[in-house]
Amino acid sequence: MHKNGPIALLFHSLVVAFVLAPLVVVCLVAFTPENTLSIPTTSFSLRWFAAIFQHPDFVPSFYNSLWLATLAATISVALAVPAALAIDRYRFPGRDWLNGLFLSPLIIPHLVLGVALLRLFALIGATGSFAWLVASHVIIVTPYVMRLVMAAFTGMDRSAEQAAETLGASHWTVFRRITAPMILPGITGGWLLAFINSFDELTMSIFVTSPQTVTLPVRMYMYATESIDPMMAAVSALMIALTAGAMLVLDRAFGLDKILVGQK
Amino acid sequence: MGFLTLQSLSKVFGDFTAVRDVDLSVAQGEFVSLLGPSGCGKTTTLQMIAGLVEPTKGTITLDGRDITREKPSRRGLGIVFQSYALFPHMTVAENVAFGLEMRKVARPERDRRVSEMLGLVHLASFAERYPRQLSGGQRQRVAIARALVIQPPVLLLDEPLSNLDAKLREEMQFELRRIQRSVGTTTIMVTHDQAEALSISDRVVVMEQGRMTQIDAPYRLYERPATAFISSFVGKMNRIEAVWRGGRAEAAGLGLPSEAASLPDGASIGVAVRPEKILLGAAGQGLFDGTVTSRFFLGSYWLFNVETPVGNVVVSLPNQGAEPVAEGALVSLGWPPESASIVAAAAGAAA
Ligand SMILES: Nc1ncnc2c1ncn2[C@@H]1O[C@H](COP(=O)(O)OP(=O)(O)O)[C@@H](O)[C@H]1O
Ligand SMILES: [Mg+2]
Repeated sequence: MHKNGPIALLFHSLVVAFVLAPLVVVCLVAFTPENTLSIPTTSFSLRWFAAIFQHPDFVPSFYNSLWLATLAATISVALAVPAALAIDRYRFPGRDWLNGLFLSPLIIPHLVLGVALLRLFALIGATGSFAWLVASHVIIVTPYVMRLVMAAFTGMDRSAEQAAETLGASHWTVFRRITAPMILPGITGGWLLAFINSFDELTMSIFVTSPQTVTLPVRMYMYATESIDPMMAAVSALMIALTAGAMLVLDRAFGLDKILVGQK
Repeated sequence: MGFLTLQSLSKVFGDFTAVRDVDLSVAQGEFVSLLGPSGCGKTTTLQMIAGLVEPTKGTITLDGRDITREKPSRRGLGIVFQSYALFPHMTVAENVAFGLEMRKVARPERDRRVSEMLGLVHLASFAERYPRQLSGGQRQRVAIARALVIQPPVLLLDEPLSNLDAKLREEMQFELRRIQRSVGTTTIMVTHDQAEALSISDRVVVMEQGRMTQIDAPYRLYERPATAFISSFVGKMNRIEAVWRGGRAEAAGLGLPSEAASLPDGASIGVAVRPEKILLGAAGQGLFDGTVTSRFFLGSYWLFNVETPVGNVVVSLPNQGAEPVAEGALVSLGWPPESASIVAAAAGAAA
């Protein structure tokens, strides 16, 4: 590897600063003792963190979002892996159509999807159903999983599978022992991306959630439209801490580069 | 009948015939090479034997049993892929153990056979490494160990040495032959490297555009190439365009000594002579004279390009220590009749 020049280094620093600055500001604001969005100067306080847990709605919404994102990501992986396998390995009528179908939610605005699903749920009487909320999230996160899993299939060396076959493995054993571990980085990467997208989704969820199924982003949005106080910053800071913590645990347990980049 | 036989085996992709009517019979314990340029259908032939490509036509029998339509997982053949195809998420020992695991071999015996096999390929101390932590030569030996541990009746090797650098390749040729000798497995190796095929095989099968054109022992292939293509592909070969006249070959008005042939007068032919069979002498002492236009020192031998009345002739001379004739020198060339064979004239050659 060669060294970066001073201009490249400056550019990198600027980009990193640009990305991190808002996060740093939010985290600082979260510790303010004031009632307004301000950066604490004289003293720090945890009062706004305490306020989250005293608020009756935030904690249930957080668990709701966690569940929703976990289920949506898992279901979309379960759908995308066989679909990607079929599209990558076989030539069949409707193959391009199927590929298009799986990727199409990417180009439909979430606003449009939200309105459409709102109508649909009203028609079939599914308003307020958690299962249908999960289904709607599966629709929007599946393209991400699909892309990563497809890339993993395309990039893998097929001869390893053939080698396993000639060593006596059945098709199912080949998939379980060879194919799946080899595309694992694509699957975990896809799952994480799906989880984050679902956990973060606001536009569509505003339409399809009901009072019993309000997700964290929707809760935050509703709260912020009514009152602007540093509690929002505290929630954000907590989310950042949780994400960073999760990444750290994943890295310690498996090695992030191993699950996301592969082990070449 | 041989241990492994191919009968008019063919493979057609769309309207392209990759392999055409291949007939081959391999004896038990034999080491056979499939030699040919890239794209001539070697891999396709090997994969049909392995069961990874379905033949369009023909039959494959193994030890008297028809395996043409049998699944690859049932054939039990050992295969080493060009890319080695190791399992990246498994250690060397796990890679080698995979085939035994599929055969439900009990743990203690599995461990014993894996370590025995790793010893055979000199990788005993690498058992716990992952493929990415190995060099090219080591990976290749893991692939061989993984294929051999299941004690396959036939070992199939697809260009096993082509990813290695020149020095390692030479070492591995001996290594491969040593391993094959010690286990006695019938082996078919695909290669486009004629030196490799000649040095380690019992027999060489030459393939050209999907067809088998010669099956012979390496030295016979070298001395008696069946086609013009083989003579140019296997080793270096001079071919002098000549005409058959009065019971001998003639070029530029000169009679060229060669093996006997019964050909009609006036037939256009080629006279094929290996560079190392040509004797270099002082001017006027041989069949004809020529001028050395260039010479190359290749360590164990010298190579000369000599401009003669019958065209450019390549001559090689073993390095005896002293410096041989210089560029620009006038020399004579000659050869005994048994060193020159008569081959068909090159397509489009003037009579
Ligand atoms: N699956 C395939 N579909 C179409 N053509 C193929 C396929 N596999 C191989 N071929 C063609 O068959 C010919 C022989 O291929 P191959 O057996 O791989 O050659 P070799 O191993 O001698 O280099 C090549 O021209 C190749 O393009
Ligand atoms: Mg090949």
